[in-house]
Amino acid sequence: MGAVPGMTTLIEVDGLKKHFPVSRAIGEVLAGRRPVVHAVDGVSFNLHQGESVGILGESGCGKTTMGRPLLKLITPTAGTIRFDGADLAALKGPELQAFRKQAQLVFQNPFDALNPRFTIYRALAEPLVNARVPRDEQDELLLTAMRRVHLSDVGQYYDKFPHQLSGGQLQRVVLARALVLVPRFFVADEPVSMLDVSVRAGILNVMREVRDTLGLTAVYISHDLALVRYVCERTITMYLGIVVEDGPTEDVVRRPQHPYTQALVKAVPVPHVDQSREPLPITGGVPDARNPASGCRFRDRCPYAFDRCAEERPALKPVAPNHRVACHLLD
Amino acid sequence: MAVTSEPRIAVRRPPRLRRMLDGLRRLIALPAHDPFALAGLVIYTVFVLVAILADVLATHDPLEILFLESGRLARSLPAGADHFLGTTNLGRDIYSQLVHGTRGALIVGLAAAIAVVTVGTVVGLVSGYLGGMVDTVLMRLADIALGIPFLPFVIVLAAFLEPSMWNVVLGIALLLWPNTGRVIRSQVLSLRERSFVEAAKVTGSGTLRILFVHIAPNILPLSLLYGSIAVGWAILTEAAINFLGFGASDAVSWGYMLQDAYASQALSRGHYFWFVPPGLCIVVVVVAGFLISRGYEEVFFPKLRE
Amino acid sequence: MPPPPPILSIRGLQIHYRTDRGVIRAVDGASFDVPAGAVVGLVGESGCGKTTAARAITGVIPANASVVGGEVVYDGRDLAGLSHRKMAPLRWREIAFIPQSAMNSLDPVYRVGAQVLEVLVDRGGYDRKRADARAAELFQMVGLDVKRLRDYPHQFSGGMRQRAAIALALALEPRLIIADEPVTALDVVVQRQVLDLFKALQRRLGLSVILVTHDISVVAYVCDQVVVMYAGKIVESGPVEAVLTRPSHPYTMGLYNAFPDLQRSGGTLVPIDGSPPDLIDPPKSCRFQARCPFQQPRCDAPPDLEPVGDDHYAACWRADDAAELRRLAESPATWERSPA
Repeated sequence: MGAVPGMTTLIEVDGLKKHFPVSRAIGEVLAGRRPVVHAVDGVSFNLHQGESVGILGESGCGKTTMGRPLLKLITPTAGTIRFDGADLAALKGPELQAFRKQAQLVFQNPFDALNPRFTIYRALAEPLVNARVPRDEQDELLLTAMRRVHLSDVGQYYDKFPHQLSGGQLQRVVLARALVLVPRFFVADEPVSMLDVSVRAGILNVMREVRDTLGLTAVYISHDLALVRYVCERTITMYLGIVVEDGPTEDVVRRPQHPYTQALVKAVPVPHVDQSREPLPITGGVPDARNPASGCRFRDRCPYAFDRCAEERPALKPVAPNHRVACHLLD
Repeated sequence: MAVTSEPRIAVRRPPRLRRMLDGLRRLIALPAHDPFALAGLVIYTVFVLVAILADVLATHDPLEILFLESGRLARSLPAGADHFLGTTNLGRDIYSQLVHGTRGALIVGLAAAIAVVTVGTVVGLVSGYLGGMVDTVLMRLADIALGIPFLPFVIVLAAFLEPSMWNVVLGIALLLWPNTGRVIRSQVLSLRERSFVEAAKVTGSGTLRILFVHIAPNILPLSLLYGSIAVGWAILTEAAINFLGFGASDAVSWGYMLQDAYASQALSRGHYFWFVPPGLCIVVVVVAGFLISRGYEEVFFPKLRE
Repeated sequence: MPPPPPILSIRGLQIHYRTDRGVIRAVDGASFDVPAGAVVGLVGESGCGKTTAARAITGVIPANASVVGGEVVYDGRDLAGLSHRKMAPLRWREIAFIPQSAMNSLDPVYRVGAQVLEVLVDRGGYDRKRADARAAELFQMVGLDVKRLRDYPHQFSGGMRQRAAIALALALEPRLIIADEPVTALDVVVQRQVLDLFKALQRRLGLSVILVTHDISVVAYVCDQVVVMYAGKIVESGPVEAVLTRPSHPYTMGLYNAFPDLQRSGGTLVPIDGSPPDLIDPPKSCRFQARCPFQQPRCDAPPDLEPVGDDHYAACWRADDAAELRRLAESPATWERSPA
């Protein structure tokens, strides 16, 4: 299910910013400076119902920070997020409860995402208990969710504790818990990075299947381009808190337009001996989220930077109907 | 494996009571691996039984002044068949005093421990999870409580209100909660960041629920640990208060016995049977508490083993 | 001209861990060679024994682990039984270890430069002046700004720390480096740079490297030889090209198909369902049997590593049918069972 023009917009993100204060060195305290990390610094995009979008980037790009505000787990420093037209910031009480039923999170660390003192049954039932679902309906909903993640033999799992299950099983339970109230939207934060390789494929396949059968809108946050390509039709690349490219995954992977995405794509190793070992079109230097470069943030690592890049921050402009890129080179 | 059309599964989880008993059984079985903890548990059990059956086990009324058949005061009798540990200066049966003293010690110990643990845990939970102003205020209260000298305060309290067992418990509760509170708070601070707490939020749990249903079970072992340590402190404090003469004079306790023996110069008279047993009992019960806490500590925090 | 002797030769290595639950047979008869000047990848998933085996070469294994059998021959000497003290002269000077998290080799309370100097002066007998020069040279070699020698580890990013750990390892010009998952925690761009660094050092210094990793893409990128481990045993080994294009053990085939490949568009990933066996009481059969779609009754007896190609070995009774099995392994239907 791809993003077809005319499809309903489910989530609108407008000018999202999230800054974190950083601990200061004594010199900075004395000088009265309050350095801040611009984890997310002005991000805008829309998500359509049924879309699977990957947010791709390396550590420090802000992708992890992107997920939480979408679920109202962190308050943005600036900007608005709308879910089905409603401003998240304004939600409270019963409306907030209603939102929570529709928007869920799949965690990175399956070993940490379940309360070690709860049985699997209890952990799974938590969303139902909070939503005041009557007891006789609970079992049915739980069974459906467990079936979707291919843990149909529920008797095997309900009475166990998290430490008794393997990583792959735990992550399926986490996914089942997210699906138990049949939400419309979920965010998956590096959902397989802590699992063994042979197990990842299983989880990713389940996620693909869930996407196809339930038509959920999903956001996958990952540094792994291959994963994003496997599950997402649309990819948003982030660098130091801003979106640098946003388009259909196949296009982004095969014909990346932004120099950073190009470097990212070239950097991914593949399981073939015959692969390109050419130097990457990116210079060293580590992105510092505290003092991003003026103008285009990528310019100090970009092989094609020119004078305009230092003066003006490039805006996201469309290069194709669904494909936007923030780079002066494309003007 | 193809998913066959299974009949609607009614998973009968064992009823609540069964599960709680199972949990209790596991809790008790845990220190079976640690001989020290096991010893501690056995000692506690013995003392608890003695306290419960004090009326049955004691041979005489602990405060009754006894007379011999000849009419003379049964003072300072050595240990014998009638009086297992002899009698005091005033003709009271030491063994019966010891047995009844167990009650006082354990009641004070347990009551104080429960109070300390409850206050400390709730404060720790709330303070650690909510942070901000609440945390600041509560922690400053804790600082104040920690700054007040312990024994003098309890003495003053006992003197101000009436000297009684419950005022001792009150004094202990007012001053000892910060230790537990602080430790629980730091545990909660780290638990707060765990994914399952975020998961609770995202699945719609409110703050109270997160605190008492999700986080609390994870810190309860720590609370219990501090509880068992608090029992030891409470018993020692109670003994000290009584020894100093500020305790209730109508109830017999080990500290009372020690004070009585001291005032009657039992040491210089060599009346070992008078003051050694209560002193020993205090030490044994307190040590038993520490042994249990050590045993459970290793179970709940296995990293300590390596 | 006959090929030069391998710099390291491991034969029948057995390492056990003593735990409360019993003895874990973490490595149960591993044999492989590290040719001089080659980068050998030691590949497998968590619990397969690769880290244990790699650490055992340096003698740095946890207190409850012990080498109970086999030999680790370096330069003609068997290191397997050597005490900590006897290994000391070899450590850093001949064999260097880069642990999984660079923060495990960098002490957070000392400046990085000071730590490099410590190795040079205390262990290498350098005098202060030469040590300073060498420290600068090392930093340049790994692509770090020499000025950063004065910084503390926490001021370095993850990639920089890893490079610093590599610089430390190279300080006394060892002939063999053992790197435990050196790029796992790094971003893909930095990962690429660090892997390129390994390759450049290999060429420039004639370094031999054992690279422990779970990522076969990394192996394909930078290794010459690869050794695949599963449940404490070696299941396949050989030149990288041979093992990746003609895998002859079902586990290797499964691993390969479970990896998302950026060059292959579309296609389905095929998971290997089930979990590795418990190593406290490992099965007496082939250890992969329970998860293997091609298992047969003869797999009840554990297979040995047999040659299946030029310097290419696999431990599978059905290695002769490898070509056919490979074809079957590509389809998801072959691997379907109950979830892991």
